[in-house]
Amino acid sequence: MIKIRNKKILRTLAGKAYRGNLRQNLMMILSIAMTAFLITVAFSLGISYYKTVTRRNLASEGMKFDISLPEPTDEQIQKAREADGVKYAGLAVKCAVAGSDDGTDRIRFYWADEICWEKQCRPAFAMWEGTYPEKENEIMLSLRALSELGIERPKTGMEIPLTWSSLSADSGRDDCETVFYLTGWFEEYGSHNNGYISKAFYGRTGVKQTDITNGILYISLENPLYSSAYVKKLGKQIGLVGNQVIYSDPLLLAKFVRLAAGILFLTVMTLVSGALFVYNIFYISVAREIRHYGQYKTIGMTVSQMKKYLLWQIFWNVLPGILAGLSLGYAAALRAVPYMLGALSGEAGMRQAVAFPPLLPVLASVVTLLAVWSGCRQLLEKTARLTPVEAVRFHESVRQRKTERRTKEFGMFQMARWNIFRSRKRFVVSAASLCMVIIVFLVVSVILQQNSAKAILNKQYSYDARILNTKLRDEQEHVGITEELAEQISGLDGVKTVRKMYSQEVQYNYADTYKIMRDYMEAVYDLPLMSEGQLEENLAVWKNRSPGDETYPGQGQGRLAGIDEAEFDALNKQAGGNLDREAFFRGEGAIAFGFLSVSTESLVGKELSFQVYGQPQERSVEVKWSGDGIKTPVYFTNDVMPDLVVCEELFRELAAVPILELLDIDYREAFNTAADQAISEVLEHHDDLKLSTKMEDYELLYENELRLRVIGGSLCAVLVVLTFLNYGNMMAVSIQSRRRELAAMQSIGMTRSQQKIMMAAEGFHYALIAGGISLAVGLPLSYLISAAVNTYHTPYRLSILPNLLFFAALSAFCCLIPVALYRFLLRGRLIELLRE
Amino acid sequence: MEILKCEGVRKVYGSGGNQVTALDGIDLSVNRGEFVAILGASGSGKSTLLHILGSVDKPTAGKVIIDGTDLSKLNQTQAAIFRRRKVGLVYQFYNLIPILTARKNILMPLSLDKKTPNQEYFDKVVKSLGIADKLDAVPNQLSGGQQQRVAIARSLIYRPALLLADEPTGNLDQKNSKEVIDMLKLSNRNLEQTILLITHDEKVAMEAERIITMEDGRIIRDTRKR
Amino acid sequence: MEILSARKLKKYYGEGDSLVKALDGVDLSVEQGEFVAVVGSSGSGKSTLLHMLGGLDVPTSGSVRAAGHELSKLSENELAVFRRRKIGFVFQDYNLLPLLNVYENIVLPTQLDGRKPDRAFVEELLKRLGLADKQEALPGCLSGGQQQRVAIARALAAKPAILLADEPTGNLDTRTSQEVLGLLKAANEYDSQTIVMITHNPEIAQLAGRIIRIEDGKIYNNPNQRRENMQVKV
Repeated sequence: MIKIRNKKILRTLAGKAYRGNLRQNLMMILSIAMTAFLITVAFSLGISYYKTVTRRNLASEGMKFDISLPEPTDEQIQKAREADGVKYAGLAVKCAVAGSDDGTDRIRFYWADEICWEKQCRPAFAMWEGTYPEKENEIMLSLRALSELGIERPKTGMEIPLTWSSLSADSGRDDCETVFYLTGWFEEYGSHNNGYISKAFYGRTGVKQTDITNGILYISLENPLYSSAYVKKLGKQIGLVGNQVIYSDPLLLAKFVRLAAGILFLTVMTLVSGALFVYNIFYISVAREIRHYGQYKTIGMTVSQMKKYLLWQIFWNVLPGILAGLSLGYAAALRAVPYMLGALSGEAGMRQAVAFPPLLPVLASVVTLLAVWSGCRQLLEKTARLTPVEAVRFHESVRQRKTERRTKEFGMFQMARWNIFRSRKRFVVSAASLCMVIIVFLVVSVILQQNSAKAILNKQYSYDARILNTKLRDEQEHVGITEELAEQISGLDGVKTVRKMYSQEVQYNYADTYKIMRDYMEAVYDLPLMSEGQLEENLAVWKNRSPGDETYPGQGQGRLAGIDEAEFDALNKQAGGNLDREAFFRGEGAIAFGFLSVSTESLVGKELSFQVYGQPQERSVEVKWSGDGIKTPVYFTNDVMPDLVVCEELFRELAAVPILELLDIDYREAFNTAADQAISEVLEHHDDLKLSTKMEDYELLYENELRLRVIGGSLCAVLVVLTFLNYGNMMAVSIQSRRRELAAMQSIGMTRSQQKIMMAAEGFHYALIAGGISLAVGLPLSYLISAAVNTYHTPYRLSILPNLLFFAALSAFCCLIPVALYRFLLRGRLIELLRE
Repeated sequence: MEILKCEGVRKVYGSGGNQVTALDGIDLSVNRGEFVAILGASGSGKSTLLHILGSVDKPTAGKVIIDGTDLSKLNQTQAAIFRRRKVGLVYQFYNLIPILTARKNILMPLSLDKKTPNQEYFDKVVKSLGIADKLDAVPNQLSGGQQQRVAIARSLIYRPALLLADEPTGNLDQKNSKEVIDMLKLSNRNLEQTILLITHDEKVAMEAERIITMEDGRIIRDTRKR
Repeated sequence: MEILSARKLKKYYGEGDSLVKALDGVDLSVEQGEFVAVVGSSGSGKSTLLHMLGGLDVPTSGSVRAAGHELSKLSENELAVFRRRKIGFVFQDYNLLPLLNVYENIVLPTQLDGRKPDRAFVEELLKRLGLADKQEALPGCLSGGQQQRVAIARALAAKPAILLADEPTGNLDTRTSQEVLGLLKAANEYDSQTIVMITHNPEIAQLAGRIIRIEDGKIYNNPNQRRENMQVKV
């Protein structure tokens, strides 16, 4: 069998068929290109974001590592290096500084051990040259440092005279002058000013690796996506002492999940849309050509020959489609990605890198091919295997209607329904692509809502404006906010309520209160940021404190606060209404808020006695409620002692001088700049008072919100275009193939208007069905996805109006497109249509 | 009673040198209840005449009046409604709507007018055409002859003034052909349906009681059987 | 020598109430060099029978043996190869590929087989069929009769064991019909081409050497009965 000739004939036949089906093929190229385009941009965005964040870390630290341990002992270093999951651990010690006195442009001298230098410093450099210093007077400096020293073209062996002082605690910071010899230079990403010196020099400075803030062990992990649990475990393995804590990013995993979720969603949506579109077009082509396929089969084309014949045509679409999509994606990414990065990372002005590694086009091509493959595969198989008789007799499978007793009448809407269900495949594909775009819009609208400036601010701020008595921290008697001022503020336009909070420092007596507070205190000192032995130390200080002792840190100081009804209601809202309002305002007791959310349950029911600042005798108060789960209203807290919050009346009783700590102001309408302005004017001469408003942060967040809107909007726009191309194409073909039938119907008396109504009705049904399914699938999906990417933990909210408008517009298009196509395709006079 | 009148009907296509005269002055009168065959070879103009009578095409000159309505006065929509109610059309191919059952195809004209069918009349027509047991089948499940019978039933459902049939048996074998012609004759006799049958086949034309022969766009003979 | 035989051939569609018995137990035998006509009304199953004989469709039960192959034993691909080497098809609606010209249409089965077409033979065929000057023409430019002649040429070009024709003159006027039938008859008489032809027209059937009647999926007379050769009015 001469196979070679075999192939050529198939390619020739495929070529002719391809040219004869040009419009559909162009559509397929377009859809493949759009798919490749979206995927390229999505991937580029993901990779760029990842790289940007990574680079940001490099820039801020100057080193490439995952977590770090400050002031490590040799033993700890050893243990770290042996610990599970640690790739390597490098030690760097800051041992001296050189340069100007005001501290701004000082060069920091680091000694880095071999591992640190090779594996963690060098990768963080943009470039480097030379060798690591060995002799005592050798040094390696950054280009920036060199240029500030006036050296633009460094050479090895150059003499660099510097005045430096050791950072050792013992050395007393004397200046030394030394002539250093340059062994190399480097360029950093950040704005550090680091210099590297030899081990010998390090020894000379007398700094120890365990000196506070000087020595750091940089740890690179096997799995860069570490969890907090792992870090905790590692800490135990290494054996942390004193105040030591492993520095890590607790949100790392969460952030990564968010990014991955977002990119995955985009990719999947694009893939599915692309596959649907490709399938639809392929199906149309097949349906048109199927009689010819039957003829080929009749005269003896085998299944594999048929497949090759079809595959050639698909290939001629895939190649230009992917190339076009990748190129356009690349061009778009160059502009779009930096823009998007600004919004996603929430920091403007960060140097943003557009990543386009060679792997990316390969990956994008693979995913696009996957879309095409899943769109074509099944149909390809089926078509190739069609028997000639089936092919020649091809009718899109008509649904059997069950026996009907009565001869009922039927109208345009009913016929429209029959028409769209005529071909199950076509219906499913078109409905699915409509659903896709509605769901994406839904999800995007929810995410935008979540990340809107207003939503975030409403979550983060419990007030619209706050006036803080800043001097109260240091001067216990400073009356910054007077009652008159409070009155004045509440009288302002737009102000709804002014919540007052008084507070005063109190001193707990060790003898009386320690027994009661024991459980609470042990819980506090169990917190990770507390070090071993600190509890005992502080207790000792507290115990020995005599009344009137003003030393700080004094231990045993707490805060007493008094609130009015408005503030209480705000707290009670957080507590779900479980606090007893009447009892509170009868002065029966206090709510105790623990330090850093440590539970105060153990204090409930107990009576705490204390000395209020400025008052000689002891007072006491029963803790009636625990403030667990509620954010403490008190701004100035004292040390680790719980905050006690009582009603205003009781506060006035206990404290000699009721001093207002702050006023929380609620507006009638949030984000009222006029009100902000009014308050600001009232406070003009009050230098001791600080005004903070929700609106302050609004600008920045709003810019973010806008960027996200643009991204979300663009994504939706592209998908909408894709969908309507698909829909329009499908409708055009459907109407075209029914020309004869429509003409026959006209000949028996159906008016053109009736036929147009039928077309619109078809579109209407599509929109309705797609809408129903989208709602059922989209609502839970939007909940899941928004939860996965919810950075600020804002509540889930569906903005109904935009979605409704979108759906209305979509439905309108669904109805209008078939009518427009009808008018175009059935232009001619009836007689011409019949004559075809 | 006169149900169809043509006066000087002409149809010309194209212009100048390419001009084709499909109909060259047709004068015709048909009374209610007649069964007329229009016989002619291809190119004789018989199909053109049919289209004009069915208000699907407009004559270049001349008048056509069916059941008192002057066709030239109808706009597109009115012509469609006219076709629905007054004229039944049966073609050689592509008569039925593939996604509808036979029953629904037959009832189509009524549904377009949102009228309820007269069950008795429906049953009568369906029975006399012998398709009562095929009502729930879709067209591609029926043979050619059965499809034509369904098409005829549809054209009769509104009791049109005129039933125009264009080569209704062209695609059928002898047995089915005979059936279809017999059905037409039956509806002509029992339902007093006026029928105009276009054909190129003399044997088919002989079944009618009046044969109008056309050639080159003109009527050359108009004979009645006795 | 028997070149084509069918035994107890059945083809059923659907089930239950909508069961259609297109072929209901057909036995048939054709000798090499015969010209057989299968006559039946529409819906009688004659087209279905032809599809079975040509391996275009698979019977519900029964067997077909053609040109030495047991068709039920052939795979999908083997059937395709079988068709392009052993069977020539002529259908009612020409079945030409609109994108290929006359010559390309004719040699397509050969090319699908990976063999080089016998150009001389094809040109001889074209001459015989009166299409010598139409080699490069596309089907769209040809009249119905010409297209059908191209279809016949394609069927004959592969020198098939059996030529199957389904209403070959159904769409042609009387004069062209006669031409086409004449060509078939000539191929049968001068080249001993075995032909099985389907028709609903008994007059056309008279041209064949043997007539088989089929109705409601069954053969109605003894298939092995032969008629005498009648003089045909051409």
